[in-house]
Amino acid sequence: MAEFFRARVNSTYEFDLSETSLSDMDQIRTGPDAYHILKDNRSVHITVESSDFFNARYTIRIEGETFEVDLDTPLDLFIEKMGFAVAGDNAVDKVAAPMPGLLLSIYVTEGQEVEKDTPLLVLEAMKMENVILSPRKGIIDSIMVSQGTSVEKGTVLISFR
Amino acid sequence: MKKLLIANRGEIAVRIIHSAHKMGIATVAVYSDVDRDAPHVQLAGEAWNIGGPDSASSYLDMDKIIAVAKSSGADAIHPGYGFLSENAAFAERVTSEGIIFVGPSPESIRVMGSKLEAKATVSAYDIPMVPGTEAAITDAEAAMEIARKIGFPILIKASAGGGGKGMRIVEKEGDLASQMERAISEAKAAFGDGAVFIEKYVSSPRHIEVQVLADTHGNTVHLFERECSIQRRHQKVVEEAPSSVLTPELREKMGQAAIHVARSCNYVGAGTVEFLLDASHNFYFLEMNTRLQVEHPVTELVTGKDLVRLQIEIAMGQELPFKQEDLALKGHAIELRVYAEDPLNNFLPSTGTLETYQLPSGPGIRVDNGFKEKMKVPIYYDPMLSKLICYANDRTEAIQLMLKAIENYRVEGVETTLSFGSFVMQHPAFKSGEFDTHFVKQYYDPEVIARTREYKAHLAALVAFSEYLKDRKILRLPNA
Repeated sequence: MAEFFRARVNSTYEFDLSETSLSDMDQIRTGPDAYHILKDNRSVHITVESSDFFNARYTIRIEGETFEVDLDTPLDLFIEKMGFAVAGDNAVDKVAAPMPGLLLSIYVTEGQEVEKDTPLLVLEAMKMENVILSPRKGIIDSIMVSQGTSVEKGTVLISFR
Repeated sequence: MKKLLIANRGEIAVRIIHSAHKMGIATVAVYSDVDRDAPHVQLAGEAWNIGGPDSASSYLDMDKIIAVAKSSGADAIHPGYGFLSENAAFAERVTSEGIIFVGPSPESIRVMGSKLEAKATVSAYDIPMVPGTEAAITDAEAAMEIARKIGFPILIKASAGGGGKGMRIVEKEGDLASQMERAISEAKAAFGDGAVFIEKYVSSPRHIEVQVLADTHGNTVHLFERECSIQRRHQKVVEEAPSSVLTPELREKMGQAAIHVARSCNYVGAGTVEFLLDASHNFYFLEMNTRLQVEHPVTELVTGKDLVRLQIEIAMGQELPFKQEDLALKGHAIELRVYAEDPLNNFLPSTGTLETYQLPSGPGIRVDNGFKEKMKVPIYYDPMLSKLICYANDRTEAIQLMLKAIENYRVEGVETTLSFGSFVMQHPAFKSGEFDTHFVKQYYDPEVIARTREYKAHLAALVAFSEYLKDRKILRLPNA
């Protein structure tokens, strides 16, 4: 029976793989950790920068970019399928700072109803004023920060009801 | 000049220190609390802490900088670009303390620093200009009236501005009031002066600037042009010399216009006269930058001159070592500003620690760099890490060299404009030379970078998978 794997790359991309996935990739070794690859007739040089078999974790460098690849083995996927993994909530219910900066002004108040793209606040970073717009229509539940404070990237600024 | 204080940080401080050392001049660096481990601090003969991370309490603090110059016995100050470089009051104070200011006179800085006064000053020389307001304004209603007269789209610019800060394009009447408010507020925050002016927005403009040098003996020359049309947020990202659209005649005409602008304000030192070139190759005077430009390296490469060295020699009262007719263009140079910004997320600053930071090297590759591996990119300053400059026989070769250099530039920990640079170098419009300042708006599609990255990520996944299978085979052998 074919084994199924999943690769997570830079915690951003996910690819499902099985041994047949490798069938149209032509790979020759050109150095201890280097390969030349032909895929779709494209010629690519790659380097395997680190490999950790026990954690199924590999670092691959391709044309100036580095990729961290985590492989989920058939066992990992089985566990996930059995429902032991925690499910995430995808609804947008808060606005986080997209970069570190200083909160110059806040345009909304708690309990206010806003449309999508309503200006919520102004964040100053690197001498530029950036207006943060509402990601959706909704009611402001709470404003976690006050004017004049410095925030780190990812700080939750506003939550929706 | 025996000892030079560099009132700046980052790559430009490093760049200035290098030229000073070559000339046998001792150097003094200044640094804020967050810059202790920066290269400029380690490279200079002396380094003095001048305060907190906030620019206002360090790199913009005239008292502290002048005090350090006196305590360290520095007889000259080089302001670099940004910070105090175009602050007439600073130049004035430095000079009155008996210290040499490596730059023009306070009067030249003052005149060219006010865009309206600059226009008035150069008008005697018949330099073409874009229609706009004659006086700076802060009133939205007056702005509306003027805007209606010259017609939309219009451009709002901070009177004291520069570097794209406090600058807004307004496409239609309905947006004017809110954009005025933002522009005034930005101008106030950045320059302490909320005055703005309004001008006609030239469509399909190219940003072309001319480097000038003037000594104290009445000699003024130009060192040809730099093409700086590839911009995001009105700030340059890619620059090159020479421009692919200037004919030798137009080059000479713009060069002479730039010399006239410099003469009109009795300019001394290295300066840059910025022009807009419209679709029919008419040029208009924009402003003069009374300092060394970020993108000066491309001019250095195509002319073979060290502009920082020349600035220092001029400041010491020496005559320019060449005449206009001795100058010639050779080869082609392209610069990419490597900013810690995310090109996939609207070029927002991407701060963090440089986990990996390795520079490319090789013939024709120059990197003016201000960072080291494991350094943090502070949020307090401009997020430029370095400038990657490539020089080759012709434009095509320079573009190809740039692509190779980008590939060999390793940065991990923050996002950078490197991927954007490779997008630009591969874009047909850039390759053909047919582009203007709207390049990013017209052609830039973050999806292209995202797709390329995803394709590579998929390859990486396949290679990792094949490695895993191989490793598993090896590890299973003992039990087989």
